[in-house]
Amino acid sequence: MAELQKIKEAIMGGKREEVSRLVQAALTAGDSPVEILEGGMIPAMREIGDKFSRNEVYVPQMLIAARAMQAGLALVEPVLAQTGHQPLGKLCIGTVKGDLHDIGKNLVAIMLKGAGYEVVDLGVNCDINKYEEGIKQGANVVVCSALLTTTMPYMKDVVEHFKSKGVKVIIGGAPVTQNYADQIGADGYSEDANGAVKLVDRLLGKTA
Amino acid sequence: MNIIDFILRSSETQRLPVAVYPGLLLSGGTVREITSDWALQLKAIKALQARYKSPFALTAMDLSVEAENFGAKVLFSENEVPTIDGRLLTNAEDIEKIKVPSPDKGRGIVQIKTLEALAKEKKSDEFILGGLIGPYSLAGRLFGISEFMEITLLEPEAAHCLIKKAVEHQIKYAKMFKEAGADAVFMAEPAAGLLWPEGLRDFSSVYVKEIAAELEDENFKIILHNCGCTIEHLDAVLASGISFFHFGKPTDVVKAVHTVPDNIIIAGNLDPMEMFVQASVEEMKSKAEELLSQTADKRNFVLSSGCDIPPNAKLANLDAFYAAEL
Ligand code: B12
Repeated sequence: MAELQKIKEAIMGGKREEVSRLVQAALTAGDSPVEILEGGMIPAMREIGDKFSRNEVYVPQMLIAARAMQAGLALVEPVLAQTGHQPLGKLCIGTVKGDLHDIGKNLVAIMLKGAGYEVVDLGVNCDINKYEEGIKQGANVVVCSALLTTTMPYMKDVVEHFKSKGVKVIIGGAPVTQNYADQIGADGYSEDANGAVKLVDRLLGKTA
Repeated sequence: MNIIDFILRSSETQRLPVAVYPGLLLSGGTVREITSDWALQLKAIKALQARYKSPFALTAMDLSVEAENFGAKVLFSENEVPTIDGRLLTNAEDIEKIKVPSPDKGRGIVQIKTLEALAKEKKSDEFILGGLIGPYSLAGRLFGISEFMEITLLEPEAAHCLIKKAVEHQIKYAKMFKEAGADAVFMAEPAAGLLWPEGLRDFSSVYVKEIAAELEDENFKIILHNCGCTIEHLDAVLASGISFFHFGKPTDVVKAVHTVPDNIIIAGNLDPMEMFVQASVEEMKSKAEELLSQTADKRNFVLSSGCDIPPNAKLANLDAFYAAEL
């Protein structure tokens, strides 16, 4: 459908108001929210995520696309909820204790939302209690981000804490490596936001 | 002789680590003290000078000074580098309204006084460098790093307007360093490395060029530090037209130094955390020697850290950095 293509392009171009207008118009016209999401919005985030992985777009373009996506989601989500549509799964995300970097974490969060997951954003400087709050809200995967070599070791504490509780923990951020993830027994690692989605898909057995 | 000619004519690769805070390990005191008291900062720098006999002395990298001067709130702690809390400006109207303060108030004076004292005792073939923030990064600290990236795309005019104000402030501030006797300023543009290459050129390099045009002369040079960019940004960084660049871990400095003309200096890029804080002495020595050997055919390379070295670095590693040999 032409409108879906327009929504996709508007998201990729970071055109927040246009996204709101187009999504609202589509909903008013009676289009199914699932179709808007799966036919326009999700493909937009996948495509821009791929471009980011290939260095064809950079952090600023990702940030504005994420905002535009958020504007669209704000309209689609309530309608989805009414129709009883189930998200693919529920996750909580936060930057670890002592660490205030949130740009990467925000991108990972929006990519996951865009892919159809429900995401509880716990913000920055999260200790284990904070992640526990996410679990109490129904999340069954903890998504941990760290940008400092000094805060990265805290991920080990988080992994160990949740290991016995059957909650999966995935980790990432610039200093983190697959090696480190293996070493501390995390359930997964990926280099970028796009990879984070594929990782969660695999982990939860979804192939949305 | 100016700093560039000095480096290009040296028979051995020069070393210029971005290190002031590790001086505390020798002089005693805290980060908080040396970012608010010039005599204590001087003491830390002199302790490093005495130990390493380096031809270069650099003032502390305190990249909160300028934003604080504009009115941003700064968080201080005893042993961490001061940082900006929250956003001073949140929209285009704020940007329009904010006045450019005079840099001779506030903690900038600490830096200027430190430099002045160093310059007074300078011997020949010694170079004194003042540390300051770059225009794009200053704008980012005032508006929020993440939000400022967004307005470069969504409201580019507002972004340029704020960067121009930052330029105005940094020209005045750099002039104060120059008048105090600096041979160069070390201008840190860390936030610009997240931009796309043309964005880096248009929102940072163009303005660095403007600052350089106002300030550079035979005896005063600008060193541009960008710890976030990659080799893909090289042309965009070079568009600033200056002759001395300092890069961090994400940049392939070996490739960079073999790409630029021989009269352009490339410095870098041993990671502060990995190499100066965490690595063993042997690892540091071998990594430094590897870099020296990969650039042995180039006179325009300077061995350095990729970014500012934190106060919890190991002196033994800094020793190894200076002791590394080809
Ligand atoms: C922007 C920035 C800041 C901003 C943060 C603003 C914000 N709101 O986030 C400010 C100025 C506040 C800041 C402060 C500091 N910073 Co800083 N900062 C950076 C910078 C320039 C960019 C980081 C960034 O946002 N990258 C872009 C995002 C998109 O990348 P990312 O976070 O890696 O995320 C991607 C992937 O890693 C992945 N990912 C991220 N999380 C997760 C999670 C999972 C589960 C998965 C699967 C994937 C994943 O997906 C993302 C998208 O692809 C880096 C240098 C650099 N160029 O990397 C330094 C850097 C991270 N900072 C550093 C330091 C030291 C600091 C400070 C201590 C002070 C200082 N001296 O500057 C303070 C610390 C404050 C604190 N307690 O946290 C160092 C860290 C060194 C180290 N290895 O420990 C760096 C590397 C700079 C350097 N060269 O020294 N910083």
